[in-house]
Amino acid sequence: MSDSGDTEGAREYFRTIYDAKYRYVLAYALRRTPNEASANDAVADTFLVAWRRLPDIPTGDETLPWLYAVARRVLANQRRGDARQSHLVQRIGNESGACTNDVEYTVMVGETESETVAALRMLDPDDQELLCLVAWEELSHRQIAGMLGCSENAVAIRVHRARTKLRGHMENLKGKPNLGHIRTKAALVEGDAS
Amino acid sequence: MTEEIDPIEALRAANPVDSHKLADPSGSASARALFEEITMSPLTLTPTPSTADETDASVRPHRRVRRIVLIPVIAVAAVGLAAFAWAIAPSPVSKPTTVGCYAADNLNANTVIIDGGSDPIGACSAIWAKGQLGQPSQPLLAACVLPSGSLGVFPSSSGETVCSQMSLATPIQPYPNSQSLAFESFKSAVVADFMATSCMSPAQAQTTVTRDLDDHGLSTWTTSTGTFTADRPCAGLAFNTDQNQVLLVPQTPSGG
Repeated sequence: MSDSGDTEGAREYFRTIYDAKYRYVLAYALRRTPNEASANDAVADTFLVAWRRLPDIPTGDETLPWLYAVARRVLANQRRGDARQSHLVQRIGNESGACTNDVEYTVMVGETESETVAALRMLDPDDQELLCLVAWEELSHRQIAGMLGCSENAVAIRVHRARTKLRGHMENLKGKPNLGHIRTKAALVEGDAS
Repeated sequence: MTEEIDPIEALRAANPVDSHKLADPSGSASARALFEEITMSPLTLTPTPSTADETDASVRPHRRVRRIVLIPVIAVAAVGLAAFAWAIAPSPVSKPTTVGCYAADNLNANTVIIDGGSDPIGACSAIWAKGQLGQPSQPLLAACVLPSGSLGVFPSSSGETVCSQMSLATPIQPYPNSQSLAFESFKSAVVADFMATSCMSPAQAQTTVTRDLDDHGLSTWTTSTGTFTADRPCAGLAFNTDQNQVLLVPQTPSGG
């Protein structure tokens, strides 16, 4: 008798988290995946992990960064699976996903992307993620530090550096025709600017 | 002529997805279906003889659930490495209502969450014996305090040193303490009260919870009531142990 009651209690507690955070996790995934189906899969997997680890979920303003951290790992797994299937990323242009953090998906410049997003993709994946967490997820440095497992000070320094790099890329791209092709991280490191 | 660019502001303006324009779960059939699917997977599997078999059969996870459960969650940080082990002072169990039974001495291992109870290690041992954490077995288990304040029970051949290896504290003894036992007793009572009524009204629920809290000496606990509607006139229960709060959750008449 009390089993079902306890399960129901956990379920309702989970519901409060799910109802409050679902749209934010979905937005996080949509910003980082090439299509809606992948984003929905990532959201499903993220909340499944959350359900199974209910006692581990922190409360207050740490809940969302915790969910983002889970989603980040889920997406990384998803991309690894995609990469294994296709060996090489072939997606390009016109895709809503903008912020990626895996080597295989780095630096995709679509025809319709803004210079800002194009410049973003020229950054190291970790820098991309960091700036996205600040600008799009609107997390504080403290929240990001908790999510990434580093100090707040380290986050502040890394954000500052990434921001400077982004500014440089934005200025370089200004007025240039959109590149419209894939460049790998290796190509970027080697200085292929075309 | 140099135009000053604020990259963060530019990036913010280029945000491809406005989360505020996305539907809440209440407005999305697929989100509601996902919630149902997820919460059908095993969670509170307190192994009492009367319901254990029924639970196993009724909460069989869907294909997606099974797939995910079998994929180990990757580690973010290399916690649990012996090289980083150090002594950590024992800590109180601030969230005694739930216990995580872990499949390995790793915070990212598969976990079955069970009711807090008076014998967490015994309860997790029963989970192991039933094969819910892999092949049925009876490993030696040790309890550690998770960062959330709940108890985690891990397989360990070296006793509680597994806690320090994962940078976790051991629970302050005695555990369970009087507070957790009082809460456990309260929870059993209030759940039984709710189960006895097919649809408890918010007012009736408030009275019942207050009475049960008083009966168990839980004077610091409060209740929080959701917004009840014609669709959801019945009170369900949830416990927020971080804030010592009992939540009265609106439910449909058949929602229980």
